[in-house]
Amino acid sequence: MYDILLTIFTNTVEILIIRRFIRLFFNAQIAETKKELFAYSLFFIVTTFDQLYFHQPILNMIVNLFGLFWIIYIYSNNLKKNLFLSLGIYAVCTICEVIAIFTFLDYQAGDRVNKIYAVFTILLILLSEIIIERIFTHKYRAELISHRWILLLIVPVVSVSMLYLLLVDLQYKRYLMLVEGLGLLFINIIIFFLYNMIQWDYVQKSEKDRLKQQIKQYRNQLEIITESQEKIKTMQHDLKHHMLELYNRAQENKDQPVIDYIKSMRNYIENPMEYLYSGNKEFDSILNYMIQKAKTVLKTVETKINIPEAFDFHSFELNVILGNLLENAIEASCQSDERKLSLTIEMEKGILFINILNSYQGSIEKNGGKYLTSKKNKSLHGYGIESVRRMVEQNHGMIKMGCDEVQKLFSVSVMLYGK
Amino acid sequence: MYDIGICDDEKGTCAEIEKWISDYAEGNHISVETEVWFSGEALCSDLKEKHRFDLIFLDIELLGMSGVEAGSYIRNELEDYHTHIVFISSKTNYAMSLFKIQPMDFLVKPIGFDDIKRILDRSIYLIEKENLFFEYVSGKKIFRVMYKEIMYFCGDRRKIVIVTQRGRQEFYGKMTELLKALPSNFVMIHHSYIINQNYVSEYSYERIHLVNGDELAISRSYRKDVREKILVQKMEGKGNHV
Repeated sequence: MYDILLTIFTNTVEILIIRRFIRLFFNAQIAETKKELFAYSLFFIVTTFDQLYFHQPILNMIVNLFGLFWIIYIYSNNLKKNLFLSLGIYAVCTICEVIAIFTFLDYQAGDRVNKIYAVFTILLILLSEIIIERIFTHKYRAELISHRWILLLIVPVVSVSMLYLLLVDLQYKRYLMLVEGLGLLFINIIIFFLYNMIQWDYVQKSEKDRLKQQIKQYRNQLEIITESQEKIKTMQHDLKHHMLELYNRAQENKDQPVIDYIKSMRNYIENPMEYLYSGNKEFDSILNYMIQKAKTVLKTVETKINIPEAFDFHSFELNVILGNLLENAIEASCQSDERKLSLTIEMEKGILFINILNSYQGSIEKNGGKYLTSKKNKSLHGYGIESVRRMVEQNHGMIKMGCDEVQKLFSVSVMLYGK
Repeated sequence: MYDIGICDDEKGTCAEIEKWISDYAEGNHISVETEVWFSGEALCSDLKEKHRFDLIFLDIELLGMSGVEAGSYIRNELEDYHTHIVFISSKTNYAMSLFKIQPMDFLVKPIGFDDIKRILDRSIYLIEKENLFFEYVSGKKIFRVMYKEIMYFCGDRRKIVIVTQRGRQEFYGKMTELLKALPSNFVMIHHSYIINQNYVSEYSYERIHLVNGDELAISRSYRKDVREKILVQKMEGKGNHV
């Protein structure tokens, strides 16, 4: 009687520990409590029954393994993951049991063992589970499969087989079993750690592949857009020429209505949506984007851009500098009444000059030589201008800022040497 | 008397520009003479016959010889670095080769009177500055050289050498004193060198390249000043030359 009660008690606790163990690897919400209750109860009944009435180690193993495997299936359908987990958990449990027994007894295969040792077993299992919990840093409960999992399977399988073979061979020594057991337990705990790492690597790799795909797609899109923009430009260019011809002929014929009409059309054609300056995609697109943006929120936007095509002029730094300065200028101008912005970029004698003028509202404060930002979070902003300054100085360039209090215009001038 | 040339294969454009120039001349009481060509070849053959101009409007997209080739001919074959060249184009992107010709500006078609006015204002202002003379005393005589012709001054101890496109002249004097007397387009890049910016083809932080191929180093102590000067010049009046 005592035996049966102890068995029931230890099995219950063991199952609870195993449940906790399993849930480490899955999102807790996945399993439905009803299903869980049913599965674990069934498992409990079968294993308890088996322990009390059958004493075949192999039968024991089969029952336990299958039981575990079946339980894990509540949580996910992933065959490889479930296989690894069931084998791994089973191995840990079995090894703990071996250690528990051999710590106190000189066990022989087939002996009946007092269930009191089961208490020690479950303590060991709990300990192992807690260690694994701590190791499980990344908490990857996702359903990913890495083809390396097969390798992971080998460890629990071999561990249990080895133990089993040793048990069967009657020539073993007790302390040897103990040491073996401890060693194998250690290895099997580490295996969970490795499982974790492999999954983490796999997640990283998938993410990377996905991003690469995305970049490829964006690149394709960009090419398509650029191509169609080129076509539009050519059409506009031809149209301009035709218009010019028509205009000149109308002038010759002194046809005033036609002249006026063409003049009004000219204004429309004169403002292309796109400025293609250098052939350098990133540079042109930043410029286009910024100028477009400025035009939508400001009243007056003037640009004068004389730079060579395909110029490889510190493009990264230039993009950062232009991006930052234009953003600041647009923002400040936006808040003024006049809403004016003027951008000049010119290349002369190997030097690139950038000048940005923007109207502003209120007053501009200076701290020592530097202009303070009017933006709300003073400590965070002003960072843009600092990085611009640093970049300009790194290239031996120069930046000058000025303020016309009368006209309420703020100006930033930058010069960058070509080489 | 200003000599201005217009080279464009679109007759309408030529006519327009010509009209605006004469309007400008009338408004500012200046006497201007314009010459028109419809091809690069015509322009070059005229220039070959020693006709010189103060300012030439040059279309980039010409049939036959292109604007780049014509500009190149002026700068490299004729070694004329004085004529102001203004490129006209219907596009907004320009090849690097155009920049090497050091044009004064680029205009995008269609052109308006304001563009012409701006160009003429600047061109005339610069020409007026350049047509002044530098005077110095050597022996007991006074000599004069047009600022326009001086590429740079090179001094050692007490002697100063004036280097022009055509040759060298010497006189006794001190560099620092000299600098004070020179117009703003002369810059000191080294305690022994004062250069005329109009003859610089390319700037870098450490050195300058002159149009005749010479390279002069900017000494460390002058680098920041030179840089500052260049930027200030550009800022002062939009569209200033450096």
